[in-house]
Amino acid sequence: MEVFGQILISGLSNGAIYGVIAFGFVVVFNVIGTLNFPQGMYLLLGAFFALMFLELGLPLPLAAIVAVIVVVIIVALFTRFTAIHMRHKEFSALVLVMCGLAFLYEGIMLLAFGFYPKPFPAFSETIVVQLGELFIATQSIWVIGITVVLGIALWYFFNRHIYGKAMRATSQNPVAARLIGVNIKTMMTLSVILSAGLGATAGIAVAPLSYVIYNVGWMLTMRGFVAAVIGGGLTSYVGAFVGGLVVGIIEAVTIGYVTSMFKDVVLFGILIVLLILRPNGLLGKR
Amino acid sequence: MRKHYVALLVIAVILAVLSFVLPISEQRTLVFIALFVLTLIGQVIFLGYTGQILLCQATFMAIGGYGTAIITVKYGVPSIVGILFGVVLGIIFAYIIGMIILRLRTFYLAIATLAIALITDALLKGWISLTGGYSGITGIPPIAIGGLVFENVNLFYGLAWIIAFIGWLFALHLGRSRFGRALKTIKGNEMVASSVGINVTKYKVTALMITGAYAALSGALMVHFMGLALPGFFSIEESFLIIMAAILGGASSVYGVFLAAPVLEYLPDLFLKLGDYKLIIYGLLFVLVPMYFMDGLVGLVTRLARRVHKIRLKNYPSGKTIAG
Repeated sequence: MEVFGQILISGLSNGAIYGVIAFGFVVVFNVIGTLNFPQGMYLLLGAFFALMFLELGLPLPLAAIVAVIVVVIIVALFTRFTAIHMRHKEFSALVLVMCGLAFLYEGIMLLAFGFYPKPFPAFSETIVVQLGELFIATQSIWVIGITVVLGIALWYFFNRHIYGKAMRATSQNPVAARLIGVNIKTMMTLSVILSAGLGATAGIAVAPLSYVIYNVGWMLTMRGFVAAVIGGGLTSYVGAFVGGLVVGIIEAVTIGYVTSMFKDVVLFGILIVLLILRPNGLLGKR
Repeated sequence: MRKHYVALLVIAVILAVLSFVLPISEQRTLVFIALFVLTLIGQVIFLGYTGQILLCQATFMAIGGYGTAIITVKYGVPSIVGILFGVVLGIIFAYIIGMIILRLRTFYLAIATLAIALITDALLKGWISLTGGYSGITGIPPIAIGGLVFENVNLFYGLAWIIAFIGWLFALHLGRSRFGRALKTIKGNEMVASSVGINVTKYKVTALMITGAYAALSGALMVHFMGLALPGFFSIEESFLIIMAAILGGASSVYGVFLAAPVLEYLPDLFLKLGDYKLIIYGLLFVLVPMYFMDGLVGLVTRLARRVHKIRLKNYPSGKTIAG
């Protein structure tokens, strides 16, 4: 039983991160209408920049905030002048441009921060707390806590804030949104800013649990994508978080009970089956 | 149609002359270019004729390559049977995944094929009893037809290019046939296509099977030429490179493959020299080419030709057209 509990906790904390990535996917897909392949790279960019500012001597909270801002600016500029600029071209071109941006961010990280994995200091002094028979990494608690806070903030933004409402309007009907005075391009840039900011924050939160290395971005992107499809067929915001938790738990169970070699096979097999049987996701309508 | 045969003949003569002039190392490069031509024809049929992105071309190559590698090495089957087996396996696989995933479109199809490529990658590295894992399969015999063993580079060079030319001619005729026109209609508008009685799914699945056959053949020939099969030959990066090269060459035209294949051969070498800058250049290429250069080198040549043509038209105010 304690083995299963242990698996569940690691699944939940990873799943929370996948949920955040999936959320970024959904925002960009709803507003711009493209798959955001660089989504996973935002996490690594966030972690790397935070590490850089930490090494420069900033305290952790300040370093994290500055890093998120830097990532948001870089990503917003890059995306605004590539993908958003050419969104009316055929979709195959758009897919390739998004892949290109992902490679570009990877390349920037490789050049700026080097080839070797780097450790990231944990947020709290105590590494592990004991709860009954379970050992829980404090960082996992941080990750889950930060995700919950982000979720509440997003709920507030989308339901109460004027920009959030405008963004929802854009994703429901761009033409109508434009007619009532919503600037579509601003909304598109804002959606990228939102997904980059969330990604970078999640990246900093999860960094202490593993090393930071430039080439795991694609893996994160794919996990987030699977989560977004599982939860709500790429369009549901709540579904994204639920899907993230499902993916995290599936992955943890596969690693725990089968083998880590084939975790991708299991996950992507599920993705393909789901794309066919329930393209609108588990929570979406048939 | 005749001008296409003339063009092909010119390319063939140039290649034949090169086979006597070039040193062995350069001939090896040209063999790889011939094999890339085969894969790229498959990609052009799918991307150019149906307009959908396929990110698992390397998977088909891996199926062809590993298919023949496994049965020739483990069961001692003649290499020619092995290659046929690999190609048939590729076609069957294309049929199965085609029936499953081709009902998806645009982004969903792209990501499903990416997932297939990732699964392949994991299986090639992880299923050690079948694929040999990272160390791959070695000792694959060279191709032998009757008493003729294609052991030295010079002979294989001829074989590879003859197969590439046959494949190219097939694709050329395919593009002009009823089948090719139906595919282009589907690319233009699926609703219109099905309303005039084209069975969209059937045509798309058939196109994927043809694509799979080309890629599997290319992969099978490659492992027999190299004498070994490694997961690195068929990585996800390879799939991305194939797409990139197909677009750089010009995915809308079968001539593009002759321009794209050298790109595909020389890009990785170039990237190797770039070292740590490789990924950035790679990213820039993927961003800038689709933004400004989606019709590729063939498109560039066509545009130039049109410009020349316009100037010539100005000189003949009677409006006589020069195009034959």
